Amino acid sequence: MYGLTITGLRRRFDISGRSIDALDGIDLTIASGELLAVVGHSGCGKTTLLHHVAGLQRPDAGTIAFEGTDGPAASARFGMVFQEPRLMPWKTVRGNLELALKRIASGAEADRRIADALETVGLAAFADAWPHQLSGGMAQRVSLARALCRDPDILLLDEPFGALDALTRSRIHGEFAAIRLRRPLTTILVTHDIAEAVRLADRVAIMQAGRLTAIFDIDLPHPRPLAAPGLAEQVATITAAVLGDTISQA
Amino acid sequence: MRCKNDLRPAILPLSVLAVWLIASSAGLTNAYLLPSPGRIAEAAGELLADGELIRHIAASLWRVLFGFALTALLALPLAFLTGIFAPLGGYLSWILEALRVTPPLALVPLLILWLGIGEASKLTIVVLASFFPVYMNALAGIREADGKLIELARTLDLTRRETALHVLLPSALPGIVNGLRLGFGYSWRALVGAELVAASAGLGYLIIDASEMARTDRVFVGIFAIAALGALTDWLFRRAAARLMPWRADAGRVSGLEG
Repeated sequence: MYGLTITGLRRRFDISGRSIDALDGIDLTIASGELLAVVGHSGCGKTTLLHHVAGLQRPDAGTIAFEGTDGPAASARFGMVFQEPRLMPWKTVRGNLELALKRIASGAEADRRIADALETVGLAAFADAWPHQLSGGMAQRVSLARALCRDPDILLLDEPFGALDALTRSRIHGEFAAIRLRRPLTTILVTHDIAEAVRLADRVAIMQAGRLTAIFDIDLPHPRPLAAPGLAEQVATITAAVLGDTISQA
Repeated sequence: MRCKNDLRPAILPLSVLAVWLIASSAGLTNAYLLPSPGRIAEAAGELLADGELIRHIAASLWRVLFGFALTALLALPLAFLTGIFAPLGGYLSWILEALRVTPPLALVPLLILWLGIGEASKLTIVVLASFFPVYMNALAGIREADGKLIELARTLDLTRRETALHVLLPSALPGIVNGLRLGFGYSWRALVGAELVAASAGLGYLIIDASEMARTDRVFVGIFAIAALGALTDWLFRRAAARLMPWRADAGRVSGLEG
């Protein structure tokens, strides 16, 4: 399990002749085993930040350093979950997980990891199902299992529950929080949903126009159902901070 | 809506057959221009009994299958190469476009001049007729591969080869199968055309020979044999597609063509 330190991360995009700073000097440290949620309006740069950590995009400036249990590491193994499940439709659930393990494990070890991951997300009975046979919530749990079976150093979640209906989303929040209690993976969660961020995260960072404008510690005990004492107040405080950014910008 | 035992497609041909039977038995048709269904069945029986029909079917089928296999061997790897290495497509675009819009039958005289009236000219016709549907559909399938799945492959640390095998190829499969199916139909059309011009065996030859002998009944036998073989091979394609793509509920009906 790794922590990571982001220093001076910058990325500029040219869109229709206009320069936009998607990342405008991000400095951030995430401890090993911590879940940091990043919230903010659409286009604030939070998904870009995640893509840079995953190595899908290269920054114009700045560094991302990984700190393993044995000291600094050149790279880390990621498990990534996107807003949509992104399951290969031509592979069964098991086939999708096998593909994620291609460079990591094979044979009995792969079988064990797949069984464990599907057990963790409660889909052990669906290993041989095709993606089109799954509901949206089940498919998203498979994509979480795909990330978990890689035994990632860092888990990257890009609005993973955003496309689900409210009831399914709330249930998966509970399941995910329970998984993290058993396996406290270093995680970055990008989300629009401030209640989701407060329910799951150790800290919540607000991002605005490519910058981190505030970071809140969430000290509430787990589990954190929506009615948990103090949760609504935390959500209100962070919402006000996000909206305050909007108002001050306007 | 279609159910498994949908008989609606049979209604029109059976109605035409009924009208044809009634008209010919009532003496309303010219027996030379439009022989009765019974007469055509008799002619088919004769041609089957003396082995002629099988000989002609075998000759045409061999040409189509062999020519079509050559097409697959040429078009599919080329589609993959141009799909993955876009600049290659730029170099080939003019020549491929020129060949695409030239009807293969327009090349028959030249091919006979160059390759003689043997098998080579007819195989070339089959390849030319089926190459473009196979190539274009496979290329479209590869180019339309979901960029999000390719991005996912990167997060899973897959190599280029693994990405091609596990993402691009299955993405392109519906296009490939659709192209093969269309190409196979084009092969039949072009082959029969070529056999009408220069051949000593094959269904095209059977038709033109029967026409010259004023055996319209045998002409119909040849036409029906081509239609039946075409329908049979198309059905086999749809079965193979369903087997090959079990994740697609509509795999047996690629390209929206009813099956």
